[in-house]
Amino acid sequence: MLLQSIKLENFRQFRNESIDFADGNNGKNVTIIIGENGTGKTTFAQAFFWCLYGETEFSDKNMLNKVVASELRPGQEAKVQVVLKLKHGDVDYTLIREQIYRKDSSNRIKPDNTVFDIAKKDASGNTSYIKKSACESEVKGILPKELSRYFFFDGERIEKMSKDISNGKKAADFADAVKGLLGLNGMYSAIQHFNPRVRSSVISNYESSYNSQSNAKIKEYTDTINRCNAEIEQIDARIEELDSEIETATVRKSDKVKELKQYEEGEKLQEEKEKLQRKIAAAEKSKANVYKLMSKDFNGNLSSFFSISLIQRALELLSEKDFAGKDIPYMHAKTIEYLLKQKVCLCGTHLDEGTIPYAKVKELIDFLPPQSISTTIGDFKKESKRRAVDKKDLYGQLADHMAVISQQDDDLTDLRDDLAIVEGKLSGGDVRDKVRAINHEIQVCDQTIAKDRSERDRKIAEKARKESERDRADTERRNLTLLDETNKKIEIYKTYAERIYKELLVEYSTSEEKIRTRLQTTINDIFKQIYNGGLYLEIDEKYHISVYVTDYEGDVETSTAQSISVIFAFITGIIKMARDNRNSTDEDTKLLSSEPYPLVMDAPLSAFDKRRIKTVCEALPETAEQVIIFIKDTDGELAEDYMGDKIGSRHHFDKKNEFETTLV
Amino acid sequence: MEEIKIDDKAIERLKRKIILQENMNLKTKTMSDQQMVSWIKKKIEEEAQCYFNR
Repeated sequence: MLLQSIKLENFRQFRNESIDFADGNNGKNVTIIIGENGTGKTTFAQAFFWCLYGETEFSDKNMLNKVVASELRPGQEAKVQVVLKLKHGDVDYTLIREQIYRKDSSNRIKPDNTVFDIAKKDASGNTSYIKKSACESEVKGILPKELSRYFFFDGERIEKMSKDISNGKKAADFADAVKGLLGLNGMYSAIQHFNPRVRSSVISNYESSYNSQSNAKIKEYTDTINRCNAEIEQIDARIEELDSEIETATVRKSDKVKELKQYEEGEKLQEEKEKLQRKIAAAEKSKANVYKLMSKDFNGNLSSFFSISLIQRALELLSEKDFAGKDIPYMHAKTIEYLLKQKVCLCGTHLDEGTIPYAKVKELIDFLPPQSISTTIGDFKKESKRRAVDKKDLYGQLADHMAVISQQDDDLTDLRDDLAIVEGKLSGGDVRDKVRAINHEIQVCDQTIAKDRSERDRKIAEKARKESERDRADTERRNLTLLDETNKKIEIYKTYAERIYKELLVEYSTSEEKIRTRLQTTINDIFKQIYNGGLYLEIDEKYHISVYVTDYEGDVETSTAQSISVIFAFITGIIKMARDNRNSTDEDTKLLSSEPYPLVMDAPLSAFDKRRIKTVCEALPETAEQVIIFIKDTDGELAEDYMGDKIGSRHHFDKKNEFETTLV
Repeated sequence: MEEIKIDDKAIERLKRKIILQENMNLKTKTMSDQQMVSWIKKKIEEEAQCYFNR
């Protein structure tokens, strides 16, 4: 998405103003709009948001220009309109949002709902209008609202955004932004088009195409599979909800713990509590290890332990019998088998089945290798001796372990008693009301986390049961469908589809991990450029960003500058990577290319010193395909100095009065 | 159970074609979800049919 122009009509202090944006022609991709404080920079920047999503961050939701409003006579109406032209992919879009305001007989101005229209012109020049009901989803396809804040942002909000990202509150949004912008959307769409849980997907389509006329059981199995899939979907949705609740409760608990530590007695008790909790966790872990050791000892020795008394009795019995010397030397059981088969003994006696000579010769097998009685008994005695030597005192071992566990249980009881005392103090009269209230909230968070985790575990087990039921039905159905030609074809197509789906899931996850690692490197490179080293960013698999201080030498920076550097680095990092993918010569990398996006920034430089402004101004036009900056006059002069050759469109706000600003 | 043989090379070709088409469609928006599903099915059936005929 690259912005072409915006036109504002009666939108707050702008009566009729428009701007054409620099789009990268002749290497100029920066549009700069300079104005003193209060001239309407933020209003103009918010006009993008209003046009796209029908919302602004203004507390006054009345968008109609005050002069126009005051000139209206009762019964008359006036229109507020923003027209945004942009290019997305090969399509030119014109987005028009307007709102009619009417003055009633008591001189009150009342707005209608906003009306939103989208016209699109495709690559072949055909223009069509999107149905009203589809306009919002069309915008979502261009730039989802949750991602828009990364591209339309202001300097005042930026610090909060950065903190949200650093403490993981917006990790999911960030993850979506990265996946969407770094080209995983194509793969994601493909996965959705195969997803068996989506009713109209490729796999679902094949699922519903089986002809059950050849065998009624096919329908029965299909119904089972569909029911299981529906139930699995519900379970997944619940697991997602629980994950989100656990995450929210964890963040809230962490905030409350920090808050509690602001109070002297709260801090002391909380630290005591955390110390006890750590000790309890360590003791529980140690107890679990002893159980593990116990199981290992038991599994390793149970055979000897339970067999030893039987072995003793067997050896006593064997000692009364003498098998020595019964074996016939140099003969093998196979020799006897041969003689029985030939029906003649070596001495010439006939060996007919059922006769005494036959039975006598057959008995000899017991005294011949490989399994003669004396050999078997010899092996048994050897094994018995080995077991007797190896025999460990399993009972003694288990008794020792139980003694350790018993001691650990006593220690745990003591620690839990101490914890209950500290909890009691935190909730009782020893602390002020505020500390008590905060501690109560922490307890509520703990209860929520424990309850949700337990439900989550149950849901995961339930899901495994449903999956196994579904897979069984699938196997049974396959046995039947392969028996007739029409169903066999469907089965084969579905097998192809399932294999592609499975491989796409794996590739998506691998690509996502690679992209995350590459993004971390890119962000750190940009971060170094903006911040001159000193800090290092890490992104974990859940897209939580951690900032580490390295050996920074120089002035001590304020946290504001750090935060702004964080957000700058990651926004520009994403945009740079998307751009690198597009310009890559490698076909596989090109597969991950996505749309270019503009950076629309309101007062982005206000918290930076001159040196940082220079580095940011030099980095932005190189990184993003299109940059639109609303900036105050003093920063604007610096920005013009540093980005001069990249500026393709330049405007100044001229404030006529409190209710009207024009563009020069 | 009878094992269904799959042409590994066909799977690779299909994946590539499908991702390219999805990326293209994200840009041009010429096909609806349902049309994309039909397109994918057609491609799978063509590849599988080629394999049967060999």
